[in-house]
Amino acid sequence: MSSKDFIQGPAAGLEQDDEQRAEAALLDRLAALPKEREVGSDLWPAIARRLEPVEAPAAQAPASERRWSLRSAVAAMAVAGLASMLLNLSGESPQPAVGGNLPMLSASAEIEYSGALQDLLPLTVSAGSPAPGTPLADFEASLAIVRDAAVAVRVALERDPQSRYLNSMLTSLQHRELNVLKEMARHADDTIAGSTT
Amino acid sequence: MSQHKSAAGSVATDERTAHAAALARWAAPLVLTALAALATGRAAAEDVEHSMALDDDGMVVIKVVKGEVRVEAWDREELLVRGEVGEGSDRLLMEGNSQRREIEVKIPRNSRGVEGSELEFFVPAGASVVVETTSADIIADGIGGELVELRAVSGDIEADAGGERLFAHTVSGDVELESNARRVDINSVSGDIDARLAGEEVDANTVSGELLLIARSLDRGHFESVSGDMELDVALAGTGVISVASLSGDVDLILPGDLSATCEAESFSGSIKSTRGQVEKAKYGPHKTLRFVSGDGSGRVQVESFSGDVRIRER
Repeated sequence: MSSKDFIQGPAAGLEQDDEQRAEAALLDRLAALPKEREVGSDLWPAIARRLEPVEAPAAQAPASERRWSLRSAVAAMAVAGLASMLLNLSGESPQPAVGGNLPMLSASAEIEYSGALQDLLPLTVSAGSPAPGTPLADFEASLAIVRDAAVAVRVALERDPQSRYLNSMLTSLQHRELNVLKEMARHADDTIAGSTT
Repeated sequence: MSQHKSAAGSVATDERTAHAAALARWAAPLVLTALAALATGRAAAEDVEHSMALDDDGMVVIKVVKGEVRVEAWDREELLVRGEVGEGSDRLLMEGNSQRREIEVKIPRNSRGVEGSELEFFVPAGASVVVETTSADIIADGIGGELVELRAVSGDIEADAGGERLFAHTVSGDVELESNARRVDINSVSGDIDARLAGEEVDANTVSGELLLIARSLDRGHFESVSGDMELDVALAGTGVISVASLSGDVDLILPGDLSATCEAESFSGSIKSTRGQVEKAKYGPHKTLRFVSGDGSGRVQVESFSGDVRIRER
């Protein structure tokens, strides 16, 4: 039974004393809930490996190196996309299904997201500080919008953690961030390296 | 006599001087431009016009960083590109065959200061078209192959296009779209979206842009915004599904009076107002829900919001 059912079901039609008893029972039940939620396995080693400091390329690193990194980033994104696809395949709507599998799938998607982010960020850093009005400045502004939005969704999820559409929205925003970074890296690559053909 | 000769000589000298001055006036800009181009390595703007075969079921991929790209359909199995390649651009790259053409304005190393290219493309009406730009605006008219894919970063997209699948994606650019493509996917980060669609499957998604959309024959529609407001004038064709999700953006959903669908709306802390059904407020907390069945209830409409206000009304 969900907390909403618990609140709305037994409380309906009760007299005031019954309501107070139900409220007390609810508070007791809330107090008995664990303070932290355990996941099935220790995910930290995998996360830590992916979050190892990446040696940022020098500002004028050869274009070939950056393109190699871009390829690996795109590969990482493909994995992230696959993880997301698994999420989306679990229901008829584009939203991930809620249930026992969601936390593990979300953790997996989070790890791949972090990995792709670590791969992509150095590529965009090499572009330097963008001048106002340039495409890179647009990218930066858009990234800030996406990241702020993701923070807002995470805050909302803390208040409503079982929300399917908020979980879906967060996944969607992570994809957007990676896509913007990928475009940004591609643009930086084109701008700095110039035509190669 | 000598004075006469001297006067004649003086006239001749004056004429030579005048010619030289005229020549200098005429040639100086060219010489200076050439010297400047040599000094800066920048190519001058170039007018182009090229025509090549392209099958009606072929594909053209167009890549332009800056400026404006216009794509129009015509009834010839031919691709025509004309316009101006911006000053400082490297060259206009044209590759491929009659099944697939790729046209790209190449830019040189350290391309700062490159001027925008203004290019117009005429493509076979049935050809697939992919346009990728950075800040260049994309204007498409009448195209409608199996795939129409329009992507810009800060450039705007303005399209009247059909076909099987249509993608219009921007980061900060606005999207203005009229389409009868069967499947449409519109996506922006901060750009506004204004779309009138006759397709069956529509996904429209923005982070902070506003979404204004009319789609009245939907089989499946998914509309999502984080903080941008949405005004959706939609209708289902038969047993379709429409889902709307918002974090803090307001949702204004306009449905037909003869709708046959089960409608559900839910908001964590925003308000819900509806001309149909009764809004239920949770006994504890701000949570609100709405459910009503219209007609035979065969379709499904679902609206979810966290803090954005939801309004549902009949057309």
